[in-house]
Amino acid sequence: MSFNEVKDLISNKKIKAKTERRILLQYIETSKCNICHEILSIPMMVTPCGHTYCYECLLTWFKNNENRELNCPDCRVSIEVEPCFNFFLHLNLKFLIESIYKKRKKESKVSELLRGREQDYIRYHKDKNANNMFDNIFKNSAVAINDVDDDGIPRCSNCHWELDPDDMEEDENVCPHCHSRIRNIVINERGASTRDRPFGNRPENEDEYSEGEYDEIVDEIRPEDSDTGDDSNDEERREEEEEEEEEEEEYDSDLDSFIENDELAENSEELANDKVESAFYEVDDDEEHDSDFYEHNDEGFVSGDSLNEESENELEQEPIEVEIEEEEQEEDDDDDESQYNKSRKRNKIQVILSDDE
Amino acid sequence: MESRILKEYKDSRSLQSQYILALDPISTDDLTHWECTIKGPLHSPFANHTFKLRIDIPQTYPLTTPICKFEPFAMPHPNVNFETGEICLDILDTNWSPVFNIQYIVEAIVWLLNEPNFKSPLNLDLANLLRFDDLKAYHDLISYHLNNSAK
Amino acid sequence: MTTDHRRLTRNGSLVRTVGTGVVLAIGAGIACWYWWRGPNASQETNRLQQKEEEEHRKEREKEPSRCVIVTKTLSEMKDFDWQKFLKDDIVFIVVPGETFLDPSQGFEIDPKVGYKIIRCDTILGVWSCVKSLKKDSLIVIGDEVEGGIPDDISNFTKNIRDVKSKEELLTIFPIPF
Repeated sequence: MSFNEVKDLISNKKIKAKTERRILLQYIETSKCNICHEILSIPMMVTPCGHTYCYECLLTWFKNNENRELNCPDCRVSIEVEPCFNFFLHLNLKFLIESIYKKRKKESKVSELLRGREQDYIRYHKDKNANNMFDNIFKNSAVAINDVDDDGIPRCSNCHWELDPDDMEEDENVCPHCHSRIRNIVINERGASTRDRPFGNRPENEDEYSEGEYDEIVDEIRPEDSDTGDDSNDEERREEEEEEEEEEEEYDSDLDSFIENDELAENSEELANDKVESAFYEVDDDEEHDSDFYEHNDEGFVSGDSLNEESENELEQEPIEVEIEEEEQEEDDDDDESQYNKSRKRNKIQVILSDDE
Repeated sequence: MESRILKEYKDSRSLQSQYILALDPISTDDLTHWECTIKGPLHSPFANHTFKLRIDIPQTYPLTTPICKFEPFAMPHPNVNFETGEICLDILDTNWSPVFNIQYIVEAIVWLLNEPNFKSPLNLDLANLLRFDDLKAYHDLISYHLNNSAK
Repeated sequence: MTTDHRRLTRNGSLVRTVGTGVVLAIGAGIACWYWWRGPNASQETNRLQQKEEEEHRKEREKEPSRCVIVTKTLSEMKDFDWQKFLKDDIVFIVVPGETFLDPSQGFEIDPKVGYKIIRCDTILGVWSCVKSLKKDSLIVIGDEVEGGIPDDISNFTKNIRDVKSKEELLTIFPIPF
């Protein structure tokens, strides 16, 4: 049925009065603001869900929970974009109310209602013209965006600071670096990569473990110095073990320098092969460097590649410095990443040893 | 927001619910203090018992959450403080939304009686019984506390 | 002059008599008030003291609440009239795997006191119940409980009686005559 046909039906009075009333009732029911339970005054539509509330109600709701995320009162979806004035609905409701109260405009109740709606309209236009919509909440806040280039970690859209959902205060959703309110809930998408979690995704009952307990358990179960690296096979390893036992002393004294050099050589190869990994070396180790980096790179997020170029250059020019960094990393046993690299490195050294024999 | 609570009062006059036996303001002059009687849900250890709730509506309602408590008496439930009757329920705390009304809160509390959550306990021992999956002891202990305090 | 003087003296005596009368009346009033008030006040304090003493006595007389953990030995004393003790302030917590006044074994328990038996599926559940009940004393045959009595139980119950034999148990629950 086309638009014109429906229009004809209505203008020719072919719809029953009962149906008309039902439509009207349904219309007024859906035009209710779920916050104040009145007919919407300055209807503002929330995206992406489309729920609509009065401008005033929405503003007080946003301001009420200061420093919390902004969500839709009905469906709790995060409101990342400023709600939009629903002009069409506003016109319809204006027409509806004016026609219902046409002959009762002088009653105090009716005039109060109409005056209230007019004041709301004036307030909205004032805010809009002053470029001060929603008390500038949307201008003075940020959203958390998951950085696809960097393992999906969430970052503040204002200052690009890395946000940790576990570090967020329970009743505050604020960036720890620039202190801007974060409009959406911070979610870590790192779970998608299973490499740094030997058992894949976290178990459902993880809540039962106290903070950090799960990680400890995983570390305990993880076989020490086993073939985490995938490029050594069993035979080789057995040979190496024998070698190690026989030449332990020699290994300690004579081969030390040799190994370190090889380690470096191997390491630079590794860096070239696995660029994302090398990004971790730099970013994790030196916080000052980290923040400097952000200051110089205001556009876009950090990508592993850009960092890697720097780190590679450093490796070539000043090998000694890198050596120290490596040692520091080895000391840091809690870090999953460094443990992983450590065991991998060891395996590679062992392979080289056996090749020499 | 006075008018909103007034509307809810009018709605509550025609309220019909299986588990809400009474939902009234303590005085009709002041709609900020309400009293509610609920029935324990069937097939839960709370069946055949009635419970009194006290609801205090803040001035900022519905933008802030009403304060809801069981009348202070020994209330054995994993998410209710045994002595004070304080309730731990997400919608009464961080997950409050202005679209909820008093009736919705009371229904959520009835639902909580049937669906306790041992992850946010206010009564550690009862929560532990659920954690150990010892439902027999959970039922018996609740029924002991309910019958013992009824005297 | 003389008439005036006489009038004055008459007036003076009148004032004097009235004055003494008023003073006497006030004095008598105060005395009466004290007399009426004195014993009454002491009566009130007496009554309060009596009440307090009574409460104290009641508390002293009150049977200390007991929590009994039903293990193998208790569970096997099937002929023993446990129902008699259900009237006291007592809770029986049945460990997993044991039965106690089980309706399926033909025991009929008064529903008014039946709630005082708590049956558990796990041993951890048993200790959670003990902690929740916070009874004055705990009666348990520690050797029969899997894993023994946890150390922290002493924080939840004043007096733990670790019973070693059936005979000792019978001293706690005397056979009714």
